[in-house]
Amino acid sequence: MPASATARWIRADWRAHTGQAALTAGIVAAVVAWLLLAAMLLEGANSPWAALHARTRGADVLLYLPPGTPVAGLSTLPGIEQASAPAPAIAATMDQGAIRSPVELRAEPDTEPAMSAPVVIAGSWLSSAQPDGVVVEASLAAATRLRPGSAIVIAGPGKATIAARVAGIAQTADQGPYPDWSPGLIWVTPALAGRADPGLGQSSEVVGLRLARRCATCVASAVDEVSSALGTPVQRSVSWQSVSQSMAASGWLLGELLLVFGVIALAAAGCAIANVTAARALAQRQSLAMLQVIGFTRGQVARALLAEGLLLALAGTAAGLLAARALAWVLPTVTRTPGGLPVTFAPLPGGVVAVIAGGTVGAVAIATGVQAWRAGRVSPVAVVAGAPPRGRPARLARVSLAARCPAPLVLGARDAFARRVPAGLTIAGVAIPMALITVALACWATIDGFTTDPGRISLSAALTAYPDGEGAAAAQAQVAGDHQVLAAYPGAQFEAELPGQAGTFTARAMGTVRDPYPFRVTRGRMFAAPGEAVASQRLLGQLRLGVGGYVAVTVGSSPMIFQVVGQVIDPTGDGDVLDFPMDALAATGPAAPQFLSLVLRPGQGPSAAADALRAASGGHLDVRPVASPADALGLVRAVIVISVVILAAIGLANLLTMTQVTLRDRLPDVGVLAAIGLTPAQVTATLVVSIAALAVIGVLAGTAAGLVAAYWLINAQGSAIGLGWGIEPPLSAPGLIAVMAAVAVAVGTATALLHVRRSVLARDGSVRVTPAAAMAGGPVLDRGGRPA
Amino acid sequence: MRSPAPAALGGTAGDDGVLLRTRDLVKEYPANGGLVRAVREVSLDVGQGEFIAIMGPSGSGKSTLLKVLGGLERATSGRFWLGGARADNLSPGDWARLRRRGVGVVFQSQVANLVSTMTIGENVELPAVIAGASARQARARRAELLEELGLADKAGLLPALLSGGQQQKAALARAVVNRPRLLLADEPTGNLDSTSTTEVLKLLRHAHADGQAIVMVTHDGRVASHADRIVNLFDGMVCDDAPIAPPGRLPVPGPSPVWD
Repeated sequence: MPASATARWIRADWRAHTGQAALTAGIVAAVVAWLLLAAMLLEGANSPWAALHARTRGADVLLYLPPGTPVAGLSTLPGIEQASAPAPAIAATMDQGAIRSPVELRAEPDTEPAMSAPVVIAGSWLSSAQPDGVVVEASLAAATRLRPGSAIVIAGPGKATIAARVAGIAQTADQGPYPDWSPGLIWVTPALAGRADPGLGQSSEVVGLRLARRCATCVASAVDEVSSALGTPVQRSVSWQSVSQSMAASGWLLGELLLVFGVIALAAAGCAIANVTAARALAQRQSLAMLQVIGFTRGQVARALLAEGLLLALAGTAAGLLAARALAWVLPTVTRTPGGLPVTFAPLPGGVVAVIAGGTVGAVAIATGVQAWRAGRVSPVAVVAGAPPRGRPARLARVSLAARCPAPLVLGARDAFARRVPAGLTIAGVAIPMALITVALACWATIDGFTTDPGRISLSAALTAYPDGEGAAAAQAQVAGDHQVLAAYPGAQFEAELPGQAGTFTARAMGTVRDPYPFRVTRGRMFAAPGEAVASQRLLGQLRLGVGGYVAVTVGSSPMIFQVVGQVIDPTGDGDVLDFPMDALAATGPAAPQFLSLVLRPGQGPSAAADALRAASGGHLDVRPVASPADALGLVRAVIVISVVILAAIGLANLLTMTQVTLRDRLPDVGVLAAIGLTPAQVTATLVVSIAALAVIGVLAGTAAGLVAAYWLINAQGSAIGLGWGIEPPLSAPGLIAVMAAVAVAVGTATALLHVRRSVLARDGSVRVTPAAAMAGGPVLDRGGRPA
Repeated sequence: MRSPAPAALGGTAGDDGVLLRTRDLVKEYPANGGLVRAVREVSLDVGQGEFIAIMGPSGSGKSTLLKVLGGLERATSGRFWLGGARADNLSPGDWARLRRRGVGVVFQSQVANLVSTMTIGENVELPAVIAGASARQARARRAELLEELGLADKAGLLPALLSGGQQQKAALARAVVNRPRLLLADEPTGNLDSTSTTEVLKLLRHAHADGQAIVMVTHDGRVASHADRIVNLFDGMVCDDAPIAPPGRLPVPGPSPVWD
């Protein structure tokens, strides 16, 4: 029946055009995977807790109970689904020289618990074979720079001091990130717990509960149920809401970036799919007309094309879903966030996955449907008469001919613009991906600039040294004079209230009037007197203040008035920062600097220098690297590389499509060109020019548009994340983008040349005058002449 | 979705044994701001199993007439009947269904007569499958036809790899695979060498012997001489319509009727 006839036709078409079919499905797969990963990353950045909670089978409530409380039977209480085995918890301190961190030791067996099983991201879990081995919670490890193998000293509640070694680093959904969430968490063996607190007299017992429902009041009612069942009050409880809120970090930037690229890729892929479908319908014109001659109705022809497109879209979507799942599994093991934690891909609600998959299939269906409908209108007579190209020679071509330009150039250019609308579509098909590639490369260059030239975003100081206890003044003088340090700027930081509004901003003293911190000033000038200050763009916006205005600030307990004389880029404190000289503090009384911002000499690694300076100060300085927005670089770079590859594939697909269409239209003219005396090389050149001219224009137009868009997009993004306008120069990475444009032009020309030579020239190098045998986009054959 | 199968060519010819009857068929094309009358008031009768050759100079409307008769283009005015049923007012969908079984169409040999992405074997099977034959029936019929045409070893090849003559034979096989009652052939031997021409004509005679009616457009008098009857078109009008006497029964030489 016709269904089987349709299936036969689709099968034959795929066999003949396997590459085109695979390209279409591949583009769909890439877009689906891309959108899913972006959504997962965004979801993960917005609420990393959900992913971790699902992955670790984390507790919904943690209950701290007096030691020795019998907890059997808790899981039978109403509203409670599961209860973990009780684990002793001991309040202790971790000592690292000058730094003492409050920690909670939690005794766990060396087997993986059924509930709240932490995810080990480095090293290994506790082992009874290594009794002094401990596992440190990942955010605590990142804040205190612990790695597997690091030695730590733990002071128990009874002043017992234990030397331990970090066996592993793990993540849990049971508590928020240190230091916002304090104390930090260290898992220890029961034996080590016994040494820290002999007899466990000062410990608590921690029980995790999974609730049947997670609702606003469920935690409180569960806690009530437990206390009444046990007959003893619960010492303390930790709800999933508080952990979730504490984990909701400001890491949304990455997800947003991915999403933007995903939407861009979707738009570009939609164009590419429409283009490929249109070109295939055009190339199939005679075949489709033939089908009508032998008895396909118009509806059947349209349905066959639509079915073909939908099958490719479904296959691509399925592949994309699998790829996203695989990548979400693999990527967290190879990438790290700025804090050193694995990137979190949160599982998506089924609805979101359905919308992404369905939306992509729908987009393909619409693109294919329109083409299928048009293909169904093909007259069966198209078998006999191909539509002749319409249009008229461009005036430019006539002028060029009069000016005695080379014939292939004139004829090729004439052909290129003979049909204005297709020429315009072709240029757009190349220009749009090229513009997006330019934006991606400009993003790359900007991020690259953050590392190679941190001064661009006012991050010249790679380290901050915090004095600790006495002898700090001497240590500061010593550090400032260290051979690794180029400059040291004293500073102090305060929280100030926004005048007349709820909320606070950061007021910082950075350097002195004589020696100010090297901020990047984007408007106005640097402060030059104790009563002057500079501010970030976002703060100026919040204060509704222009450069030259005055702002009243309460620093510590002293009210101060500053004139804002400049706008600077300052990534500190989400971009709500007022920076003024230390001299201003001195005016109200002597003020010791809270910290020193250290600019290192070129070539000094921040973490090595931090360790060396810490050691040199004899424990009187805590030296820490400054966090930079560029730290998330690895993943963003991967994002950019993948975007560029996808966009390049889309641009190439458009170019190939256009090449085939042009060849289909022009091949009948080849014989004429040869007959009027053009050499085979000239005939080839004519066709190549007619294709490459449009590609070159597309590349140039796309690059120009991309440069303008990049300037606006990156600065707008900079403003949005608090860096302020001005992080991106109007012409970014000219060298990189020029190389990219040159490569694009070369690839375009080479593609055209390859196709034209294959279609036009016979083996002996002469021009093939019968075009039918060499139709572009014709079936691919192996050497035996059978379909490949 | 599917309208009832058209009554035309439902089974038999019309009551009077006429398979195809046209009355005052006109086809006009818009061209150069005006109208070109490609076919003018053509009235023809083609009997069941009759083999007609349509001749005439270039631009005389032969191919246009054939396209109208195959439902590939709609007549501007006039009427025609297939198997006694009106056919000029059928919808494109009905015409598609009619071509599945009742009407086979073959074009000039320079034109792609086959689906380029399908092998020769698949091309011959496809109309049978569309018409509702089982895969086994279609395969059997294809084997039979390709064997007869000496193309059995080419079944797995794509059309582009065959010579013009071989492609044309495959196209004919494709057109007759469902044994249509009417075969429309537009210059089936155009551009073919004499060997291929002979083979194609052999196949046409075979179909004719099978009882299929054939309407063939040709330039070539030798090719036309295989028909039962020759219709001459000039400027879209029938200017001559005469049977060819079978060999051995040529008119007796004698005074021309004019002299009577």
